Amino acid sequence: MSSLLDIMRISSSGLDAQSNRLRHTAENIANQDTPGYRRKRIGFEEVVQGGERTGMVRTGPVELDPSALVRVYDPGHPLADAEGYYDGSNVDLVVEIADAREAQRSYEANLRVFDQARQMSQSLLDLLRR
Amino acid sequence: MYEMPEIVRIAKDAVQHATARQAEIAKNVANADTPGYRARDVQPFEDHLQGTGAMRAKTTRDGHLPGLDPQERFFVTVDQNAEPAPNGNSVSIETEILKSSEVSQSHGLAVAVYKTSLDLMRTALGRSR
Repeated sequence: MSSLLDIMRISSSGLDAQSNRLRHTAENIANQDTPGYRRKRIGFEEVVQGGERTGMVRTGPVELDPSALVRVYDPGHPLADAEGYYDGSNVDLVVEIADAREAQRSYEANLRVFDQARQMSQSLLDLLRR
Repeated sequence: MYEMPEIVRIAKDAVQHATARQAEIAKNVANADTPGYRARDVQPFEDHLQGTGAMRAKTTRDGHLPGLDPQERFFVTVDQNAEPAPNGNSVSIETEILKSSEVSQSHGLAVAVYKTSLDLMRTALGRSR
């Protein structure tokens, strides 16, 4: 039984990590037109407790994408320089949408494993109920 | 002393095997996007039954320490054949979902066997089911 609870804990850490990733994707998409905004990205890492691998996952520190900002031509913009350009953001919508899709897919898989562990513990509890 | 019949013991082992396998699947799915993570699995139940897997120290007296933690009785194997993604991760969600439905089946089977053998014992005792 305790092992089934461990499974649920691991799956919920996966759900947590994926929704965190989706949150950063949402942030990036919302700021696509913010001048000077750098795309945020996060990595995943396995949780190690007391030198032992737990199998749980968490999101790593947030990093800013160092790629070049897009130069936007708009002489009327308050931030425009002498040549009429200003720095846009380096968010690529296609990348963000792909990332969001991947997060959704992994979220669903984690949810499925969670649900199955729940069903397994239910069938074990049913042994007692008779 | 009362000893559990062989069939009940095997059914219990099978339930524990299914649980251990589901735990590895949960770890794989949770780490489906972790760079460098290799997919793991548990040795097949047949291997465990034939004793060809983990070496276990037998406990013949109460004072003996168990060789392996009861939750880690099954050998965990790392999948060497899978082609890793560019970030070194070899988890395939499709394979994991397939494995988890296998686990669901074998868990259901083991629980059903357990239940039926308990029913048999009840019948043998002459109690109504």
